[in-house]
Amino acid sequence: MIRVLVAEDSPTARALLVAMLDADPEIEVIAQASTGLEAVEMAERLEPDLITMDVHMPELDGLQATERIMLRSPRPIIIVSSQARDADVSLSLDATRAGALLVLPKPEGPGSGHFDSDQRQLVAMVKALSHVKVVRRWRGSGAIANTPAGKTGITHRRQSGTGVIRKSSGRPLATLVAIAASTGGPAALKDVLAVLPTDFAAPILIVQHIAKGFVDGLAKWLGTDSSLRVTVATDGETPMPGFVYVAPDGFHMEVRRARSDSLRIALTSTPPVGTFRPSASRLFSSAATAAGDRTLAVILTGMGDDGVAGLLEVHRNHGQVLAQDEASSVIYGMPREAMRAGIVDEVVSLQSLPDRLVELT
Amino acid sequence: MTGPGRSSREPLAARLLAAFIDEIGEHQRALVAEALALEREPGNADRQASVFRIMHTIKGAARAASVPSIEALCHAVEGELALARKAGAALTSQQISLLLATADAFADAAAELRAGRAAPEESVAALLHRMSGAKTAAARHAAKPQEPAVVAKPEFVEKREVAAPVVEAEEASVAVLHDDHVRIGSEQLESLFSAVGELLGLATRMEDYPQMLTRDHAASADGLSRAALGMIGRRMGGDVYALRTLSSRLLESVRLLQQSPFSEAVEMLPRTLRDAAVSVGKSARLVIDGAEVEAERGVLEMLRVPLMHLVRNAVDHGLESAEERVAAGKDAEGIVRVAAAIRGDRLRVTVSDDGKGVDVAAIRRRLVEQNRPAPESDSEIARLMFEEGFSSRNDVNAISGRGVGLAIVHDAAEQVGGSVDVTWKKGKGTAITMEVPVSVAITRALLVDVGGYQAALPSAFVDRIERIPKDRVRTMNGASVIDDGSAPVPLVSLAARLGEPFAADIIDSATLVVVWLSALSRRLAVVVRDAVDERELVLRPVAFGGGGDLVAGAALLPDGNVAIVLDVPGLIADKRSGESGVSFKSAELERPRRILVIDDSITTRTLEASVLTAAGYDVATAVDGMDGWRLMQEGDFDLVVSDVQMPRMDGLELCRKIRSTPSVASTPVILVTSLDKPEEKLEGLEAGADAYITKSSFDQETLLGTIRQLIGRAVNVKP
Repeated sequence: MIRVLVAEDSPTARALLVAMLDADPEIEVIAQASTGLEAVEMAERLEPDLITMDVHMPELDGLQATERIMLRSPRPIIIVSSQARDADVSLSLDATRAGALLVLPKPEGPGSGHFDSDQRQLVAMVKALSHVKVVRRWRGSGAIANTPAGKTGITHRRQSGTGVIRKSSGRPLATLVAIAASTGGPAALKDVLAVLPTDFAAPILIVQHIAKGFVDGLAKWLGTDSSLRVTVATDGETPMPGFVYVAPDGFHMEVRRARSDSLRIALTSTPPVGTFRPSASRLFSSAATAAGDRTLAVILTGMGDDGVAGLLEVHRNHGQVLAQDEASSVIYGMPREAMRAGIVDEVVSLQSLPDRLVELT
Repeated sequence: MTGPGRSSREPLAARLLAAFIDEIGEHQRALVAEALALEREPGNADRQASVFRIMHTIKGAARAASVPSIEALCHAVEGELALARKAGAALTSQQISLLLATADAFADAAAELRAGRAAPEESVAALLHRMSGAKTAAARHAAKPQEPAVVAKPEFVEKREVAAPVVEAEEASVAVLHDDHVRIGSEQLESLFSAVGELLGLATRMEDYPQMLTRDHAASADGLSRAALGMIGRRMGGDVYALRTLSSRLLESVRLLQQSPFSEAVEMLPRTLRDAAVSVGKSARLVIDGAEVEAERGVLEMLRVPLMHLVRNAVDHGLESAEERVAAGKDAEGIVRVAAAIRGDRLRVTVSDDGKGVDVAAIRRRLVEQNRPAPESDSEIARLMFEEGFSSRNDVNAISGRGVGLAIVHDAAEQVGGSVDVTWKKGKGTAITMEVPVSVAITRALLVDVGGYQAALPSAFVDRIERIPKDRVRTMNGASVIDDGSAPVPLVSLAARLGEPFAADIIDSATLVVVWLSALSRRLAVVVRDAVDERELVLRPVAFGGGGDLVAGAALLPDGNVAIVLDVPGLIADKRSGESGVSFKSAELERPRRILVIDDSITTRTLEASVLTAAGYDVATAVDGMDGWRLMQEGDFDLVVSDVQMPRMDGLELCRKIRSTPSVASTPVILVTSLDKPEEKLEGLEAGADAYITKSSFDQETLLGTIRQLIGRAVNVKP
């Protein structure tokens, strides 16, 4: 039985969440909090398996409550937020930096057509994330500060189990960076982008799995504190160095070589890969075709295995593949699958990733 | 994966909607308070944040409850204000008006949702437009005209239709909140209060039992039984005494629950003042004194609207414009003060302003224009302000000038046996004082015997009781009057006024027992058989009664009987008071009205028949149209109540048949049916029905009310 604490100040919205969760036989809502302070107190006292957290609450907001809980009594937290305003998205994503695992949009009630799918998604995420081992946060820390590796320097990690490590050797510098991320991605990306220099040599394309409606806010959020310009990708534009392009809702983002030999971003509506659109695999395989051995592909924290199929192509075309290490991954799913497929050149901690990216481009 | 299946979705949806209606009501009030506070300090970041939180929360709640129009409205308003928030700037006056308009929209939505309808779509543009027209909810409420009595054949009898499934809270109406408080529905409180009143009555009745037991029965019993009875009697005496004391205490506690602080009656006033001031371009501030004074909730509720009118009146008529004030050496901003205080068992509320005082000259001018004689004294002149339809202004702006506002104040005071007074000082200010009883649920009343039963006259209206020699009664213009000092006062037999058929034998002696009644300025003397007692009674409303207009409620008497509590202002105002003087003939009874009830369902037929019989009508029933038609031809009916869907002859056909047969063509017909589509109603009315009541909105009041409109009461007494 998964024991859930629901934190939400609106009685109506709270009633909806509770009803959606209680309906599943494996989930039990053990308590409801209507303020951030209550949420923290109940988290400590009742030790739920997972907490759903509203962002705007009296006394302490969702971000502050998340910070405190991750400090005192860390456990999986899903932020349930309205995605309509960038400010809301920003706050939600800040909460993920503070340790919340995922952001979901506020569900619609039984009177709406989305009720069933919203409920399915909520329940599925609760079940999936309730088992995630979360790390206690120390005061003033972001994701990078948590990892044990030093701040500078390259770390090559020898990984255990199957798979082969490739040493980088006489390889040409990459002209295109493609990154895939899912659960835990936004916080990781923010930390990396905050440190990359303004003159970063290659354009960066990112597929981040995120709930519908959050992409614009995500791009804005990633852009603050970064010297690079972060935008949501548009069809036909030429990716430039100094810029970061995030795939929009509901489209695959691919990169193509135009007749003039420059690269172009193409947004397509071909069917989802698995359940994903945008799919990281589509990005990677298109990059492999367009940029060949000048491709630098990075696979970060996340559930599932989206991206791995595309990495195969990158590898085949002599591009380079970096995977985030287990220690710094919120969920070591996608990177592990990539390792299993034997196509990872280097395992990198989040801490060292920015330096590595600079060196390789 | 299982989820709430389709069958459990409706209860969930209903529950969410009910929670939402509550939530939006609370936040609406908070929003108004914050907006008004922001008007004083537009840059206050905390309050701005608070407003944002409210919008955000309601947006989320609307989404959960599937009310997209409110979700969209909140989103739009958030957008309008977002810029200000970012810059840390102060909110503009227009933005604050938008917040108030949004609060109005919330209130409207809650009302619509509560009635089972959809929340109206509102756009920010529409809201802004509405605000600029100064047509706020408060003004709209005030300007609502009295509903005219429907006499002619109505187009549609639009009774309250609940089309959607009724949104009823599934849980008990007691909700435990997170702190130490409990929320309880006011209906529950009412019924608790009633029950405790009854308990006290029971306990009082039982007071006699111990004595009866020991004294009356002990005498006839043998020794052993006498001892036993004596012991029981003594025990009982102790218990009954304890019961009586506890019930009394319980009643007092519950009575306190019925009380609320005066601040509840003035919640809307800051908003009212603000809207009024903005509307006429004056500057004003509201001060409340005595917000903590406690009075019965019913009384406070009753004061809300009159206070709004008084505040509006103070701004509109009392205060001068900013320039005038400064020229007169006053602050540009006028002060309107609302003060409450308890004086004995009365609540005194004064609304005063520091404006220019009552413009007696303007009133005199108006009287001249209307060709009316002007009273001598200034205070008489001032009283005219409270008269319905009287206005000393020619221009009717949205605020006042319709002559309705102060009349409402006057009526409200009169209704509860209170008073209204006005004093002023030219150039300095005006003060209008309302005095009302602190409690209306428990009233001191005079119990009188009207021959056959007891009636209660609330003491607030009773001046005195007197025995008067019969020869002091004289007639004037055909009506009986008694001279009392200065003026003749109409005199009526209370029993006759109540339709009591045995009025005759009351008056036989040489003296009459007369109760002098007054409600504000009007007076009436009523003859009763005897005055019984004066006591505190717990007033309970009645669903319907034969006395009709004159009954304010009922009260349980200690002896177990029920006394009807009379509506004295109604009694005094009733035109017939003048006509049905004290007559000493036996009243001639008309035969009761006869109604024919036709329905093929025995349940419906029985229900309707019993309702009508209880109301005093003479009822016959038929099982379908043909049966009904047969009865109509044999008998003489004053009205027909019929179903539509019936075998052999349906309601529509019957109607047509009635209308085309001269002997019965003028018989009023009411169709009561479950068909509630507009075209079906139209069909019914085209077939000749006088009224159409849908079964989903059927209740006793509706049917009886409609019948009364068509043919009057069951029994009318001719003088």
